[in-house]
Amino acid sequence: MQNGIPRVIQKSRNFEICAQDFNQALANAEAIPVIHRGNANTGISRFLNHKQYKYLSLLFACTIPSLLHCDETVPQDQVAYVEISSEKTQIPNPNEKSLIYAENVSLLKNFEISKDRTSLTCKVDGIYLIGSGTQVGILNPRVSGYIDSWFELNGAPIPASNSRQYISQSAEVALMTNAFLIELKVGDVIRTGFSASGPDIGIVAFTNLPNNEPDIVSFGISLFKIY
Amino acid sequence: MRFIFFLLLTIQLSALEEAYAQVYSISAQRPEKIVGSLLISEEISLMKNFELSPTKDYLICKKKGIYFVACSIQPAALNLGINGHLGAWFELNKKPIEASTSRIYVTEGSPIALITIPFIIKLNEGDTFGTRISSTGYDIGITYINAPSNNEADVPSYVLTIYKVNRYEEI
Repeated sequence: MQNGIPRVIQKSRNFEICAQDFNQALANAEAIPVIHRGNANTGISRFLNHKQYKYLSLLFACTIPSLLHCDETVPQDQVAYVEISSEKTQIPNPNEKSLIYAENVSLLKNFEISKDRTSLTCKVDGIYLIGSGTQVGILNPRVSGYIDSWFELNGAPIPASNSRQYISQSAEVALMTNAFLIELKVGDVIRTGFSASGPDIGIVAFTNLPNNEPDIVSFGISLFKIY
Repeated sequence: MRFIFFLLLTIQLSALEEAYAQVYSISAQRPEKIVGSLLISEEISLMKNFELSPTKDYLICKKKGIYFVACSIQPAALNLGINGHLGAWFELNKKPIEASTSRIYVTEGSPIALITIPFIIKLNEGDTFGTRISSTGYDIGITYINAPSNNEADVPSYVLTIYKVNRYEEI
């Protein structure tokens, strides 16, 4: 109780964007010293004994961060996210299953990336959101066709995760984006597969762009634990 | 005093409840003329604190909150020699949500495309939520592709993903 609510309020970084809740928190915080002081003639302390104070304090300490949308109650070992990308043009092999690799790691927590940069191993159970962007392109101006791209869980394609995008001479580059929810267990391995309708179709990157424009990556994928 | 205990306990327990859903379609769908059509999802991947309507064309929210939603659609020319566009938008309680529409062209040369619409929305308990499409012709709709090869997953015509962003209940 003594360190509970005031500590949470001081440490939270979310108050400014939650003005209404912050006011509510302030209102609640004003009530806390009353309980803390144990003034028998003031507020709800009139109705409480010492043991009840403890339980009520615990409930307050647990509830107020909830009211504030404060995420400090989430243990760090339950936080998991990853963001990786590729700046390489990649062409799928028509004769065997092809996986997209991502040589750049922007963020990585409670995931592990394989040495060949194609696989992500999950270290925390949970429900995850996957977001990916794939820059589809043709490498020969007289080619048209399509790319398919899907997610794999432990080596098997995930149902309903596949997407198809056509490209042609009049539209040489396109962007495929996906958002997908998936339940992962510790040790599960996520990969992204792709295939094309012809040899000169793949995913393309654009680097050394003028005017300080950032590179256009051929592939980027983000995963984070939502529950 | 007990009331306060129960009230706080109820708030805390309800605050921890999660809400998410992912539904998808494994059939080609064509929009009706002028009014378009709500997209139907025959399959459910994940579902918690949501319900799919009996007509399978909208989700019913069971938990008030702020939600992230995204739909992925495979617009397609469903016949040869067809060019035109398809638009898709979200509907809340059977009314279009402003600024949620996306449009894409499909042509004979590029007959299949992909639209993904991410959006943030506030939902109340009992709200209904779905995706409607309309197009320039009956032969422009969304397509399902069955097992392109042994190594691949099916390409669904429509995937709707939604989850509650604020983990804690607003009071």
